[in-house]
Amino acid sequence: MKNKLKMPNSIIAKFWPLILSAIVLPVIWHLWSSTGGGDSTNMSTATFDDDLQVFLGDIHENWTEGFSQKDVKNSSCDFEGNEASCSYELMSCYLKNQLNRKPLKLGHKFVLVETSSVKSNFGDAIIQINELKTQKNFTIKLFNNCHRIKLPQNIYSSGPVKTNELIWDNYNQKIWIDRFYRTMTETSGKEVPLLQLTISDRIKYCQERGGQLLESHVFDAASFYPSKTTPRGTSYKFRYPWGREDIDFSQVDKVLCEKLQAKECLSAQLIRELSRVPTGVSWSGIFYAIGSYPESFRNIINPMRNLKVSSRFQSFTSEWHENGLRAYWNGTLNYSSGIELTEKILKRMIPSGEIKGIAFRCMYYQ
Amino acid sequence: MYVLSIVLYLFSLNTFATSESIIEDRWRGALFIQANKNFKQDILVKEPRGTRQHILSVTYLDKGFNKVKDCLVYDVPKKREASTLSIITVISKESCVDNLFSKVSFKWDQIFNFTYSINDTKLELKMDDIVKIFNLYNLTLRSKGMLISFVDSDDGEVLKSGDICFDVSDKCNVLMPDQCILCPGGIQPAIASSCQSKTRKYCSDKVCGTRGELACVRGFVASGYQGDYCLNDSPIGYCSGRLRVVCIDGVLRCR
Repeated sequence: MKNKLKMPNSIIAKFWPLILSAIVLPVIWHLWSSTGGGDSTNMSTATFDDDLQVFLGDIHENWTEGFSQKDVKNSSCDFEGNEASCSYELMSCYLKNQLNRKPLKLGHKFVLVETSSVKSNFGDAIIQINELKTQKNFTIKLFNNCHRIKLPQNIYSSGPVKTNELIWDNYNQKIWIDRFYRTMTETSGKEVPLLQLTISDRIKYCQERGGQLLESHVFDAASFYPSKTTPRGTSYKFRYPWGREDIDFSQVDKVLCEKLQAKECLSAQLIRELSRVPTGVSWSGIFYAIGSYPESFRNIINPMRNLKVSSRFQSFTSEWHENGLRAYWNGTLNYSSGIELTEKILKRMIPSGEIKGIAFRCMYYQ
Repeated sequence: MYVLSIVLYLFSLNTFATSESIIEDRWRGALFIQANKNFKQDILVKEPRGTRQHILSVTYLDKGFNKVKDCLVYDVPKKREASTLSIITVISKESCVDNLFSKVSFKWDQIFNFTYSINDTKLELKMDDIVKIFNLYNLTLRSKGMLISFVDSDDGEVLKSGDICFDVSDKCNVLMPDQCILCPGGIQPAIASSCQSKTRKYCSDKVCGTRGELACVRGFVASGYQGDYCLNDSPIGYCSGRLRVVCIDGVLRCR
């Protein structure tokens, strides 16, 4: 039996180089490929991840920080040039034209296959990429949340100065707020605030974008400069959203109007100077915390306090220019009969100039 | 014949490597990993001998950014013998423990010692002296507002409005990892435990504080309340107008 299995010595002697190479070469080939030799799967995986990380970092940077005007001008993309962040059009252009791209050391080339978006998906961008060397396909989703701020975790008090409408905290919830008014960008491309929507359309608008109409107490939290708050109340509430200091209304100039855009800021020259400058920035990073346009909210605790009146429709002397003050808007587009200018906590009527439009923004839980 | 069998064996190993690269690809899109707490990282899995054990699950994203789950199961050897580490793909809401003997989609054989480790960027499967490294992207990308998927199909599990997308216990242990980024619309926090630093979250387009809906969150710190959260008129939540806070099935709602 043993003899039958035994290979004849003469055959081994004759073909030993062939037999040896038949055994050894596949072993070497396998070991070489499994340790990353040549263009094999494992090697390309190791280097692929290095280049992929650079590519993804690049994408993230350009999505969140936008592009330089120079990059945009040098491209052949056809869109109204701006360097906006979270812009689906700019991101598509970037990928098609390989704009502003950091070099990939390991020779991978990430090519756009397809982009899709947007309006049905809260302005998020979905892009499909093919890597030419490995022929790997993958899909990236970029969330449209560049223009939001995260409300810092704290205890907050809503309502006018010297009052506490609601004391609440966000230690166990993450809340994001639009930094700017919602605009007509999505429909007409114009960065003009959306003013002519009923309250129910505003609620629907924010819902369709994964959020909800900004709550009045959350706006107060983002507007009132922080001060010590306990379950019993706030030690001190500052009148203005930019900080502790009051304001000097005696000299109407660009500096003043950047803080509070009131009626006096609508002169031709100031309008020009302020045309692309968001005004009324608060400590938290939201704009138009005071002045600019009236703004509507949802108020759970007191639905009759749902309108910030401080705006460009009042002069600097108006009492409405202060944190936490609210009037009531019934949600219709007939402003003359639909707005009640009584501050329900202070229980007094504060007159206002004619209101010609009401802006809004959304908030989002994460 | 002997030579041919060696060549065939090595060929199969290379085919195997291709399959492994598919695993590498889909796990690049992992959203979260849940490890079986019975098996600690970097400690060899030796017990219970002669059983099949669920080690961890990798929930990754398909092309439509919906969830798919791979269960990693290990046949703990009875004595000093070679064993197997297998991957079983299931619907993401299914339990790995209930699918220990379902169809295996991939496996590593000839393992004598096995353990693993996880951090935010990689999963390492340590099989004897071989360490398989899987790069994980979404664990860090998600905080930057990005997600990635290397899967071509889009038949994963879709979250819908009303689904819980994050949950914690009274002691703040995570009961369900955060997947709210996959909600089709908005998210609503809910008071459903005594945890003061995190809340349960639902995928929801509804707003809090209205009749029948979740109570809005006032918070433990702001209320200064230290007792049981689950009671009618609980100070931890609040509702609109004359609606009362009620505790239904452990969740604060408005009625």
